Amino acid sequence: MKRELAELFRDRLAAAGGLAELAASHDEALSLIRHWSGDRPVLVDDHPDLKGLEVAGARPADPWDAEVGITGVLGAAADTGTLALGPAPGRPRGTAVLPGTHLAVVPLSRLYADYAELIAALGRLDPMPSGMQLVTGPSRSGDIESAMIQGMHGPRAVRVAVYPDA
Amino acid sequence: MTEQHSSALAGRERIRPDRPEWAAGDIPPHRRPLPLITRDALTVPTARPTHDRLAALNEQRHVGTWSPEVAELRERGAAIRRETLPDLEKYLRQLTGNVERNGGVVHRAATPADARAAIERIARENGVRLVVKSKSMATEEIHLNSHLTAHGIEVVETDLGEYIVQLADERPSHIVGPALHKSRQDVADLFGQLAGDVVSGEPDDLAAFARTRLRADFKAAGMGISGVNFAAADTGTLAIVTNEGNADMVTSQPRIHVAVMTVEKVIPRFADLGVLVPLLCDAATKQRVSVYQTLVNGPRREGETDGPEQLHLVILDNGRTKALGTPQEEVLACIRCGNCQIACPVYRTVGGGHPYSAVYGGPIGAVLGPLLGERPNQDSDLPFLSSLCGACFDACPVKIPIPDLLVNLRAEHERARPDARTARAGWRAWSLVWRTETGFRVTLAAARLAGRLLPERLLARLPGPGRGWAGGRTLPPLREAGAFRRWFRRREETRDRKENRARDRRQA
Repeated sequence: MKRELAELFRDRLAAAGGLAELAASHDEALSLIRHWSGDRPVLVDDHPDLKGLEVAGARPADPWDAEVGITGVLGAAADTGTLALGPAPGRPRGTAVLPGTHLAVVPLSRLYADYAELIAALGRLDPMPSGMQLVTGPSRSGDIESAMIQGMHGPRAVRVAVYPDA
Repeated sequence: MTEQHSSALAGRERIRPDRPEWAAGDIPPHRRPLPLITRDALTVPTARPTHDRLAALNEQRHVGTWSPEVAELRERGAAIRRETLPDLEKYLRQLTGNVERNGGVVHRAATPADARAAIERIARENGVRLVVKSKSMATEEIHLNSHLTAHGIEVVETDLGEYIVQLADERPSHIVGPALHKSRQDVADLFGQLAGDVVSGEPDDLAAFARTRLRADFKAAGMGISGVNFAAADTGTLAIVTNEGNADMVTSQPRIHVAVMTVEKVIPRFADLGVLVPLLCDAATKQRVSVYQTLVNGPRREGETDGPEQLHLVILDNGRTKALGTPQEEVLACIRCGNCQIACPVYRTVGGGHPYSAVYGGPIGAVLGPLLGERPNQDSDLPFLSSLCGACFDACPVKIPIPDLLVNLRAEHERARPDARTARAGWRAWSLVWRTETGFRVTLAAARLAGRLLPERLLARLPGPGRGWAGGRTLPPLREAGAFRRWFRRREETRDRKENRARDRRQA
């Protein structure tokens, strides 16, 4: 059941121009992230799901110079391929928006079947965070002759490692 | 924190404005009659390619049809959008209470002037010199950009389409695709003038050009101004829907965020976003959901390193609450997807929204325009810019009966005419004459005779009040009055003869 949801998430995120891999464990998810991140300048959120992650890239002095942003999620929706992020101390809003690549880990326990379920789950957060970012694939624009432009203001690439948690 | 001048607008003085008066960012306070403007609009070189692009979108997206999944969302969305209307003020008070509890400041603005003053004051009190904006039709309504600019504050539109029309000194020609009327070459020419250099016409290159310049402004701006797609009364959450990610920038990087919404954007519950966001995105761009939904619950909290230090919400009425309790209140269910514009053959033919000479073009604009307060009565002729074919109703994700509302407004416009009584007497006399076949034949003969005797130039210039009406309209050739009837009679006769022959053969 959860496996099928994860596959749906992967397919729908791919349709939106992103990429998801189904990892066998949390460790495998973190090594995917490490691999994707390479040695580029990177922002890593202070998030429990990222505990133990070590990346080769350095944190730039100015977050605007980062090329990769790595986050956890509040939740995700399978039928749309959507990630939901919430700011907190150590988890600035900029991590998922400023760099050209956004990497995230999603535990299966917080993968919801559809968008409405994800919204309902976010609505139950108490207290709600000061903001929430829902992200479905890379930034895009169709403002010039409706031609699809990938990577307008936000990231050009969104990659997600989904993993089973207890 | 240093605030420099805008990078995105640097070189703007090199741009040679090349647009008709009726496409201007600030709509001239007095405009010519609509038939004259639309006649001009058809001769503008961009009209035909724009029509073709819009027609292609209409086809590709099967505008007016709904998948079973979305059809269900449409029913639910239509109901949710009407839930607030019987007691809009209650929901606005609840929203206000929750935004304030979240640490935001709420400004109620009855008129565009109130809204402009509130925003200008926030900017002034905080020493803001540079503002980055994400797309907002409400700020178009209050002509915010020129107001702030006049007060020495630079304003930069960051949505790619909005940035293009800002540079061209135009206003958006479509609610969701502001620059739908521009080709890639038009954009390349515009960016080329800005840069004082040749710019490639590839959409990816054009986007990269805009991205680099706008990125510097996101970083430098002291204030971000955004619109609001939905405001949840029960949590005080402001939802902003984009594909580009500019709302995420505008609401997270500058130290002040001002969100501008119109009164009807309030929705009862946060959970309703689960219905309304996918519905909006299907109607607007045929996506399951857009790339970004930015949900704002207040300013940054202790320990957070980005997000605005101040959050302000401006709630604008601008004549909308007048419609509550009348049949026209249905227009307040609108979620601004722009689908009715693409569906409308008139909108497509005139090359998009500019010739409507109002903030909102197309069917929804023709219903909304007459409500908005700034130019009372002047937009009451907008509802005539429609063929009443009903495509807008089929395309509406929240089932607003736009054709009915257009007819209501037309009736109102006719009743309000200074010569309403004379006009009614005229229609009545016409109806009396045409009620008998003789009366009908006599008028046809008279028209034919007039067509033969009088020079055409004279006929095109009706006397008195008819002159204004005739401007921009083409009189049918009077010499041919009755031609259709003659053709029809001949056709009938031919058919009768054929049938008779067939019968004769069968009998033989």
